[in-house]
Amino acid sequence: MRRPNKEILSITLGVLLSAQVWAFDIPNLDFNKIMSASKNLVEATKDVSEPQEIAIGEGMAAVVLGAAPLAKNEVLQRYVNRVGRYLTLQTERPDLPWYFGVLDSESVNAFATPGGHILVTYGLLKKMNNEAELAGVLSHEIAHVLKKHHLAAMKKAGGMTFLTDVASMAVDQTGGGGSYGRALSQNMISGMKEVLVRGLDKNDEYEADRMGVVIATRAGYDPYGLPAVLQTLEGLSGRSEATLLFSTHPAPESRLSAMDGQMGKFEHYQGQSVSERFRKLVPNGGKN
Amino acid sequence: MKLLTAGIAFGLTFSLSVAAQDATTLKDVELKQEPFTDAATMATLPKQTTVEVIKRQGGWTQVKPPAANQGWVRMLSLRFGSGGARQSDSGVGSLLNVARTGSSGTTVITGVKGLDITSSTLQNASPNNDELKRMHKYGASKEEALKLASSASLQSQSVPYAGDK
Repeated sequence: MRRPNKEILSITLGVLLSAQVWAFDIPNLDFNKIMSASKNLVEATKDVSEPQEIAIGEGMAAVVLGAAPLAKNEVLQRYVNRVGRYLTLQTERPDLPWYFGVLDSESVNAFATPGGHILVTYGLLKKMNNEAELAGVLSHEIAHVLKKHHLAAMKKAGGMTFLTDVASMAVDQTGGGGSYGRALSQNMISGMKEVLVRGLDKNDEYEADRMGVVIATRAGYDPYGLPAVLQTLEGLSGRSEATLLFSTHPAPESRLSAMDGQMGKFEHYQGQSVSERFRKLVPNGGKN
Repeated sequence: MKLLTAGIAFGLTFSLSVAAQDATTLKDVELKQEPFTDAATMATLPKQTTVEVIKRQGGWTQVKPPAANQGWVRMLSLRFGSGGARQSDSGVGSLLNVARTGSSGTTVITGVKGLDITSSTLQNASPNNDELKRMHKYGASKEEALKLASSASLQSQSVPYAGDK
């Protein structure tokens, strides 16, 4: 995803630079504008730094929390954080400031934001039967963070403006925490909302499914937790509480058939479902 | 096979009961006596057979077909199509609603169902930094996470990503 972008940017950069050469012949061309555009493009080819990624993700999590707050059940919040944090230890980015939350919403959905904030609705949680299913969903979201899928979508949607906004963000270098209420530009907030409402590239969803199964299995869970949740979602087709999820993701049946080929090799892994404590800690769990 | 049997003897945590519901076979599938590839085949269910789902165990789902005894089929050979007419929602969602304070400063009438997250609620959302602070308060340390894992005897293992060598 990022490579073609860079190629396009460097081609555009090339065009702009060569524009300077024959600028003398074109009286109306604003030299300063070209110089500043070129500078932005150079800036844009750099990756978003990790502290910037985290700050963007915090802002985006705050937006989702603006749509629905956290469920009041503190024991549940801490439980989901521990399961999630354990899963992140099986990944290539174990030291991001990972946070997990359960949203007080009957909608069926889960969200990841850059840098490690992950939210799952109570509506989805109570449709799960055990911790392995929770692990499957959280691992799918963790994969989006690992692969920076949301940043890619924001770059795609916002282009130069997004990257210029990122470049001008004042981010404390430790990243995360302590800078609540940091003024993200209105423009950047709209970009986040657009990505939340439109969803990610479909291939990124399939990739997160494939990686999600791997991460949950690494942690020692039943590998079939995520496919099981997808089957539950399949049974929800047409139900209003899953409208946004269905409009932002490939159909569950497509995701399941994409997984079919991969799942064979997971038969050989031992994994646990962990139902008992899940049922205790998730009031009303297993309700389809 | 021994390993698998041991896995089953492992018991309760491994097998899951699913709420009674129907599913349809995606293709012709073998109905097995036990949830293993090399278990005896009891019957072959033709594509589009509607079965009652009993429970899942790993990659296998126990089903009751209309014209055969119950047995096991591969989980991913089933489609959970239209079987949506199930009861959900006891009063928990509404209890949570009552308990919630309006931190955004606007009055939100949520009714009996919990707050919906839709395209328009997201479009209209103002960033809620108080809730973000709460979210951070509940964060888990690595040690807490590992403790939770070991209390369920979860053991990590090495599994490559698809495509990794």
